[in-house]
Amino acid sequence: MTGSLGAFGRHVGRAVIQVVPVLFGISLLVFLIVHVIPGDPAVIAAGLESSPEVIERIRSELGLDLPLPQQFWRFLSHALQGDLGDSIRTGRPVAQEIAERFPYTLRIALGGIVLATLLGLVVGVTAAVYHNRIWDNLIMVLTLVAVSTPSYWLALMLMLVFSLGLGLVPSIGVGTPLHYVLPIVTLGTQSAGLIARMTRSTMLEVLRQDYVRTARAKGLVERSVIYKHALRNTLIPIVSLIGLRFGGLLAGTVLVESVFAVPGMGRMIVEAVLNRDFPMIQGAVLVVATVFVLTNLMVDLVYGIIDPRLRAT
Amino acid sequence: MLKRFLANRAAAGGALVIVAFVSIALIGPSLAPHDPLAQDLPSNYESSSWAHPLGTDHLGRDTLSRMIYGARVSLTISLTSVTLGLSIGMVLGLVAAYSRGVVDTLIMRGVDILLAFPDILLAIAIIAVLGAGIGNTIIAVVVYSVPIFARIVRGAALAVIELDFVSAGRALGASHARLIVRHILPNCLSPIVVQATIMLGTAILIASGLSFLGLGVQPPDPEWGAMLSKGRELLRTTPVAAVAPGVAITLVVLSFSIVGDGLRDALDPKLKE
Repeated sequence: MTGSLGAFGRHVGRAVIQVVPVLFGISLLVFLIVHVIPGDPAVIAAGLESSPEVIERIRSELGLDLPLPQQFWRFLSHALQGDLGDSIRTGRPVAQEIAERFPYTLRIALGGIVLATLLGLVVGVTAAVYHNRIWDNLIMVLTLVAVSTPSYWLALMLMLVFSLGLGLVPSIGVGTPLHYVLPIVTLGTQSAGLIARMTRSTMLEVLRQDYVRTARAKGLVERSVIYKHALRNTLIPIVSLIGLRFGGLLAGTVLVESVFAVPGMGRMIVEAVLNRDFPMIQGAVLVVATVFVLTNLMVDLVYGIIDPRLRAT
Repeated sequence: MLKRFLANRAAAGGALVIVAFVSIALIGPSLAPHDPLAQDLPSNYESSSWAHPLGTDHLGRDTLSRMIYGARVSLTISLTSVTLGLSIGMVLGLVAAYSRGVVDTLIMRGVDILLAFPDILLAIAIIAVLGAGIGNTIIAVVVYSVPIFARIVRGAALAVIELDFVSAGRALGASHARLIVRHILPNCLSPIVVQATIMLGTAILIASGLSFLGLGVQPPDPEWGAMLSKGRELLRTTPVAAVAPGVAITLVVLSFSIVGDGLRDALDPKLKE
């Protein structure tokens, strides 16, 4: 028992150690954004029309007169304490802006991933069970369409049919839970397609295994063979894909929030880029990438729990 | 191999769509009924008619003509960015796989870091630095695709490097460059070709997403994603103009995926279940 706990501990340790350089690299790239753009970062931070005195004051306030490695250290230590600087446009702390907007994005992204997982599993299993028959072929075509459709256009089409046409759900804004339906469906569709395809192919592999034949030979009903024996063993690659897709969904909110006028992080990033509000861009990109990396770390850890083989090594 | 590919009806259909897309991009100017940039404000937001089969946009420009010219913009972005991204990614992946050790670790950590900016976020960060426009959109898609290609090429090369004919080549005194170019690369082309084909579609998806947000191709240049940026107004006034560009993007991206899958099956029949 202690042995397997020790192995699990080593698995956790290894996963955490791999994440640290990635997080460091992300911070470095995000830090460098303001230093590779053409122009003086102090002028950009102060605003283009500021007087030289103001610019110089901002320069020393933000530490822009320090050597670059020192500036990066400052950026990193501030970020670790939750200080991401102030927005150029609103003058408010970036961390505060993000804290206000992140919940909207999180709601849509979580809704999207839950929808994508449920739909993807059901559709993928169905396709595998009806392998090479009409249902399978139809599902394969539909999932490929789902993966190829631009999300912002799907958003518009859903809006056209379900809001403007049928009047079932509101088209834009976030006033009621109903407002979240279309953004979540839009965001979840592409991932549902990917998860369905992955579920189908791993399921087909598993269904050929001996223990599935054994289960059938024992006379178990097909439903129990599929859901109790086969599906459980397809979960590992699928869990990994879900982790990866969560990042895709977070980034995907950039497009979806713009269409549905959701005041989340996604729209915040676009507005910040259009306004050249660099502290906002840096803060938002850093937060999304960090959340993504930490999600995958968590998936890695969940692996250790659901796959006993990883504990043994 | 071609026979196997064409026997796959879906792949053949996808190839047909791509041929049509490329033809429209090439001969677009002689197909378009109107000048894609010609504004005609009094007749803006018109629905479909004989003169404007897909209606007109907010400036009275002909949607069909803009779609035809848009094919050229999308094809340019997609071909250029995938060619560049593939070249850089391939060099990085081959060097990483061949040299192992510190160089490999450095390259792959770099790849991990770039892949930590999910999907379109990396492209947006590049645009934040460089500014919008067609050229910068291409650069953004290149940066997006390099880590993906590098990882695939490295994986494919690692599987080949251990094989006997590489050791034989090395034993015969072949140089590093010769080993990589003549022995390793030709034997890991299939996954690269498949990924590049699919990426041609993904590039269009990313670029059109940027343009939709106003961060990619800038007005007045016609681009399918940019044509949808006034989406909500179009829905109320000229739904057909909101439907058409999306159908075009989906069809082209879908076709590249299907052709990529078809190539995978044709190049490596063992993989097919």
